[in-house]
Amino acid sequence: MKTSSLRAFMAVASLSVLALSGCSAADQSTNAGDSSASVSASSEGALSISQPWIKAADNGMTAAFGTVTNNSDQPVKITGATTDISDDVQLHVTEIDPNTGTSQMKEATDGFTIEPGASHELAPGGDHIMLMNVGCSLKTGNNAEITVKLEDGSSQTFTFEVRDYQGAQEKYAPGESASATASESAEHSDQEMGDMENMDHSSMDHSAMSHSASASESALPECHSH
Amino acid sequence: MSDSRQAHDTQKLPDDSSLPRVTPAAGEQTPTGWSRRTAIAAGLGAGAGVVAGAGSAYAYASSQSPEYTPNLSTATVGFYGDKQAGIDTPPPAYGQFIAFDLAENTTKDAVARLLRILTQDATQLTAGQAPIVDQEPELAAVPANLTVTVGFGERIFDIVAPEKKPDWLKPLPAFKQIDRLDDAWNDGDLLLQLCADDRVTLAHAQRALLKGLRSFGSIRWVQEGFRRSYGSENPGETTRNLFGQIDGTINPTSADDTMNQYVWGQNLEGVQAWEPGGTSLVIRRIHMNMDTWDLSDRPAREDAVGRKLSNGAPLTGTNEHDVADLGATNELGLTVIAPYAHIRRAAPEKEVERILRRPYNYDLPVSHASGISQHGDITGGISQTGLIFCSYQADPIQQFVPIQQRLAELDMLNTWTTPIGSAVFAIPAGCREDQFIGQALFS
Ligand code: HEM
Ligand SMILES: [Cu+2]
Repeated sequence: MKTSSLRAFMAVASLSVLALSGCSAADQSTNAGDSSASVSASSEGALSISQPWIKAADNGMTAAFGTVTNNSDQPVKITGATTDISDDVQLHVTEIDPNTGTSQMKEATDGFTIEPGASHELAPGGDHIMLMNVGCSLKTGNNAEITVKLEDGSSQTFTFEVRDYQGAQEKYAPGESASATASESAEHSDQEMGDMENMDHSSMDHSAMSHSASASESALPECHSH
Repeated sequence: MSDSRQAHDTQKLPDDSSLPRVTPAAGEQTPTGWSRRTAIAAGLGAGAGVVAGAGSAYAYASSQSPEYTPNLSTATVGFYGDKQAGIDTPPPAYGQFIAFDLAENTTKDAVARLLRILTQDATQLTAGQAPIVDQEPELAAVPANLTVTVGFGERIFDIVAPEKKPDWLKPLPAFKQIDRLDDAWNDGDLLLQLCADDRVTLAHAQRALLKGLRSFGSIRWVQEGFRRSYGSENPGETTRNLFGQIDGTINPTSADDTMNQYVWGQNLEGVQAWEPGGTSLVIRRIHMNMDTWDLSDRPAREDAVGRKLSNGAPLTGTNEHDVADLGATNELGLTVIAPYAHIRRAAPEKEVERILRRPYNYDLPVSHASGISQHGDITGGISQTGLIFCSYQADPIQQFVPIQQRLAELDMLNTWTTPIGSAVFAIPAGCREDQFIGQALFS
């Protein structure tokens, strides 16, 4: 329980730092004082989120994480999510394939239900919000907004901090088709994108990770989210 | 002094840990003058805006004052403040100096993103909390007085705000008589100074912070330093370097106005900080030839510095803090403190020529080593030993360079020491909770 209060604290701390980070280059230097947006976004409605973050990606797929807490006295069910930076957002769960030991992610067809007062952790290797076909480049240190849709028809928007992250390499196994696998990581563009069918932990070339500093040719323009 | 240690044991933490934990009544000042920032309960306080920052009053602690040495699992140094921690705060046992080079096409936007995540992660690590993407979060739980201090090389200014670049921010002039600089230890676009009293805490913090910076460039060099362990020295005791010398006797202190003047550039005629709360850091990596040092006996060693090895007293005095009498002569009419003595040559000739020295030792592992290195050698023998000589001052050109120039011209210590690396950084002001380090460059 110590950890949950710590988390709650950290959410406040991180949000207050984050809040000044507008996403676009033009914004950053000017909106430092405007620090209310992401805090208020999470304090209205039944849900709040601590340590919200999204894995940096130059394009393609990525995933968003954080600990979502239901502050109301009713169960809340998250049924989906939307964002400006992707037109295909899914709720995913992750399972260990008992035969291979690799993590596989699947769509959470039933959504995520959070009991009153309970928290639901979205974490690499566990449940998460999956963003497919990201049409822009998510750079570490920027923010992205994601709106979660609730069963009662309402929605809540949260600001996620973009961070570089080398984990979250689970295979994607939509439905029953085991062949269509992919990684949450969209960092490995170029040849790896073409090779996506076979991507798994063991075939990742970690030396390729360092390239992202120089604007890689396949990187799309930076995402803008306001 | 002797009973000040026992007092720790009776020093109880406040039950309400949301209150800032401060050094008790007698003040935040150790006898040598390091300001003890408000220690705050790990996991609490940092978010509550309760950090008594560097601007708080420094009272001089008597030698009777109980020093506060908490268990390292709760020992924190406040991150926020108008000055960055890690400069006028007591030096922890381990110091890691990391110079980082930005990737070629780094934009202003990228620098802002970098500083934002660096600040956020540093805030959490120094409070004993795991940063947002920490994959070994349990290691963050022992803050151990961790400080993270950020410095800027020229390129940060060139990219973000060329008009704000201090004139002095460039490589020092060459000191031809002594320098044997290896580019492997020179310069850098960004400096991270990490200090902590626990080596695991430090390794974890370094890993966590560098992971976040990976996409922005590459590590240029890392200098790994150490001092005595936490608790090995009496509070306020001046440390010894690996030559066995008491090193740090003459230093600006927060007990009077000298820290403000020489480090923070306040109330010092002709010198100003490049920004309020900012300062500069010169890092000289200085090889110490332990083998040729072995050739000199104690009188020669004391003569070289002008101080006694036993207690650091000047050769003209009896106690460490006695003022050295540079004019005193012996029966032969020669000055007691030799013309070539380190403290004579390093003593200020102008009022502004004072610096804060906060050095760390290094002592690298050597393999298959044997023999004795010769005079002037910077390799060989059985040791790779020296000082990460860290000098903080408002203006390195006016304050540091004249001292180094005099030492280059004449200093008996040069017999055994060789500068092998040199770097200058501008240290930006500290920040508040809703800011990031260096944000003022963007306004
Ligand atoms: C390995 C290299 C060095 C060693 C072993 C060394 C050692 C010492 C020692 C033992 C003292 C006397 C005690 C004290 O006041 O701390 C001292 C004083 C001092 N050193 Fe060094 N030092 C080194 C390099 C430097 C450098 C590079 C500078 C500056 C450019 C410097 C500046 C000073 C100053 C300003 C003092 C105080 C002088 C005074 O009495 O007013 N030292 N050093
Ligand atoms: Cu997924």
